[in-house]
Amino acid sequence: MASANVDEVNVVLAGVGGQGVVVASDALGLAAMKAGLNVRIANVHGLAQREGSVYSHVRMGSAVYSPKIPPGRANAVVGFEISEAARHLRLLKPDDGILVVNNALMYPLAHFTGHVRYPRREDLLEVLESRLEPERIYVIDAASLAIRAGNPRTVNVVMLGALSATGVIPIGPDELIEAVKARVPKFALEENERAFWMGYNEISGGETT
Amino acid sequence: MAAILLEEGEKVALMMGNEAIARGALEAGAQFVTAYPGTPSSEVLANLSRVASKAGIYVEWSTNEKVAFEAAYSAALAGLRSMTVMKHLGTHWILDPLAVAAITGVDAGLVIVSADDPHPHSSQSSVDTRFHGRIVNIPVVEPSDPAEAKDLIVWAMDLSEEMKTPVLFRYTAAVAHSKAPVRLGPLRLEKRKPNFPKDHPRLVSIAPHARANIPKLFERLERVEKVFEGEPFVQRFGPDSGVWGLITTGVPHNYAMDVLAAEGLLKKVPVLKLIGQYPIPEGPVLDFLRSVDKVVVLEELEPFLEDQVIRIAKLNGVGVEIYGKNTGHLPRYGEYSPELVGRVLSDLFDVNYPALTLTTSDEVSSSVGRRIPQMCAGCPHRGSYLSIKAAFARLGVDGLVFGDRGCYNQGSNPPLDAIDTCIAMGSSIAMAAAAKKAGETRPVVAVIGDSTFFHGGLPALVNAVVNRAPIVVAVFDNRWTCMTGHQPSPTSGVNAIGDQAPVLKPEDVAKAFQIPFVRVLSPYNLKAAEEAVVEAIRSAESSGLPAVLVFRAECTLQVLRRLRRKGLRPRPMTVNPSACVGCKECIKTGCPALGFDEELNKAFIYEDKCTGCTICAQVCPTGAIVREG
Repeated sequence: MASANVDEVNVVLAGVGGQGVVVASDALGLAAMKAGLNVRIANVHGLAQREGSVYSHVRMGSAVYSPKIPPGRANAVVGFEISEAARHLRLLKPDDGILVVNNALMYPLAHFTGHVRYPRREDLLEVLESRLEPERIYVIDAASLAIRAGNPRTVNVVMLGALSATGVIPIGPDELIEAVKARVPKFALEENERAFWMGYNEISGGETT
Repeated sequence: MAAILLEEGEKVALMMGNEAIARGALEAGAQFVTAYPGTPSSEVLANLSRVASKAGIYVEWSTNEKVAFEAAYSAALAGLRSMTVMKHLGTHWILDPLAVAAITGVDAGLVIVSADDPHPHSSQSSVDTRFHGRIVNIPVVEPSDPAEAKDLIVWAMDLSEEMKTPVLFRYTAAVAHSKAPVRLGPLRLEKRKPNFPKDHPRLVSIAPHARANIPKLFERLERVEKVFEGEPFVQRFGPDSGVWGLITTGVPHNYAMDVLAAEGLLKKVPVLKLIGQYPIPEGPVLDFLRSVDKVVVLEELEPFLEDQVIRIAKLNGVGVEIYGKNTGHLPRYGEYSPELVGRVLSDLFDVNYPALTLTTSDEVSSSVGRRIPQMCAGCPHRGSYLSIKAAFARLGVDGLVFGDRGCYNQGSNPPLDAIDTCIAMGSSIAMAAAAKKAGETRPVVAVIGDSTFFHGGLPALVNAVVNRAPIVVAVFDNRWTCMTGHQPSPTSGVNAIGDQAPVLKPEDVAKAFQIPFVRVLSPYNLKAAEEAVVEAIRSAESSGLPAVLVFRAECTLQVLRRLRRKGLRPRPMTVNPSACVGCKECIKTGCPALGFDEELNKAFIYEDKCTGCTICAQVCPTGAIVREG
């Protein structure tokens, strides 16, 4: 599936500190590089350990120079958390960009103290669904899938599997899974592979064995 | 990922900018590398320290940037290729010795790696450190991506050694923390023997010697300019001439290329990329200016190149129109983006980039509030701050808390809202003492972490003692430099390469400075800590001298890491819902392991985040929070 004549494919991965955004973007970048594509990744993770937002821009293709995706040019926004998906919606291509979102909202502490108010999960989901045609939004319960895969910390790989199944990225699932394995701890290879297919099949409708 | 740093042979690796710079050091023959950690530069030495022993090079986390610079300078005088790495705030600290090093020159290569943070993401100011090179008259270079950053370390090191001058390598956060494919070059692991020169007319830089040597500095600059006139320090893209042209450097170069590529303008708009920025290569710039009618200069932060380009055009009578910060088209602050560059180019010439977003998407995105950073669950600083606040409350005073630089900055955020200043490394003690000397009647506390205490706090503490300032100095000693990724601090008992080192104790320093009230306490026992703060305030007032409290507990993340390695987990706390009255006292500690169910009006604890530190249980008025199981 390697194709060096891809001009520009942009993916935003967004979540909260601890969700494994950077690992997922590394895997996506490595897989793209293996597939012969030029790659740029931008990471913002300065306060990841301190409950901050974390996001990566992964850019692939021959017309890609800088690591940052401008507004309206992302082929996919992958939200590991629903408010983080909404935060990056402005980057999505207005006509055909897709949103893959984990149906979970992680309230920051300041929400409980009243310093910042976050919307309710179902209300925010409704807003997102009202902005995009149904075929452009994929909502999955990645946390449950990760637990079924054997490790709640594999939400990031579930999300990569789901992204892979949408067909937006110019990399096959087997190539992506190899890159995931190169980037996650050795003792967790199996659960990550299961997590990937859990996410993949959730979108493709396939069966995970 | 550090293994890649020592790989040999043809290979392209996906590398972070800072990792690429570390690899560059090993390809440049750097044998002596120093740093003080600071975002966005920390990963350079963190990566090098993992391979230093194997590579046979010396690396150190120095006490502060000035020490780091002086160490690398000394090694370069002794003939070892050297590099020193710091964030922009640290580069401010080195100007004094750097100005002399510029005059004496160096015997082996010396590259100063200075990481700017234009946004700023993780800094309290955002100054363009290219000017530091210009002020002292040493060459300034800048890369535009990780691959170029690696190569430029090698070029800069060779240039430095050939021209006998330190070189300032400036880069910005977007290069430091982005990743790109990097083609590895051959390793150059030097085994030079040091031979520090006894060269008094040069190295004893007293005024008559300095006067004699200053002209040589300018002769060196002239020779550097000749080198900067050729590749790789200057690069041209696109056609030979055009109506519009771009002069670029750093990551804005790639933002511009993105725009030109997307708009089909790569073959229509000539681009001059200047990697060597000072001294600016006048010949190539002049040729470029004569080949276009109008030019836009793209660089992050100050109009460093732009002002020089305007000067060159003016002095040579070239009538080209020059657009940039001076014309108000580009900002002098903030991090650039393809969006910004696209908008500016769209205003100026015939492009429409990106201009694609739906306003409805913008609305959704801006409706999500910022995630306010908090100190981690179980962080010892939380208890330290709570006890200071409780002591003020008990004394019925609105005391002042002067903060410093480190993780404990998060204590400024709601709900803790526990510090009144955050200025620069070591400023807490100096400013707190001055507040008292200026006549402040409220109790004054200076809060400073252990690494910052040794970095910049010591002279200020001496100052507070000899000038008799009745302040409380609270040293938050968590044994590591945590904000930047747990680098060793003088309190860690270990150095950059993992060798054992003496554990320095702030309380020993305080005693040596003849401070009468010195107390070490645990931040996890709120009542005892509150009592100690009250006593310290009273002691300072009665003795007229500083009182020192050392809040000691190792960073929770380090403790958890060790537990995990042993296959263990902490025992979390839990909320007994029948005892919880929904008062939110626990939430107000700012611990992210806590949540609140508004329908039930009860607090709850995220089991996976809780470290069982018991701070919330100690503030709970109804005893509703207990150890699980």
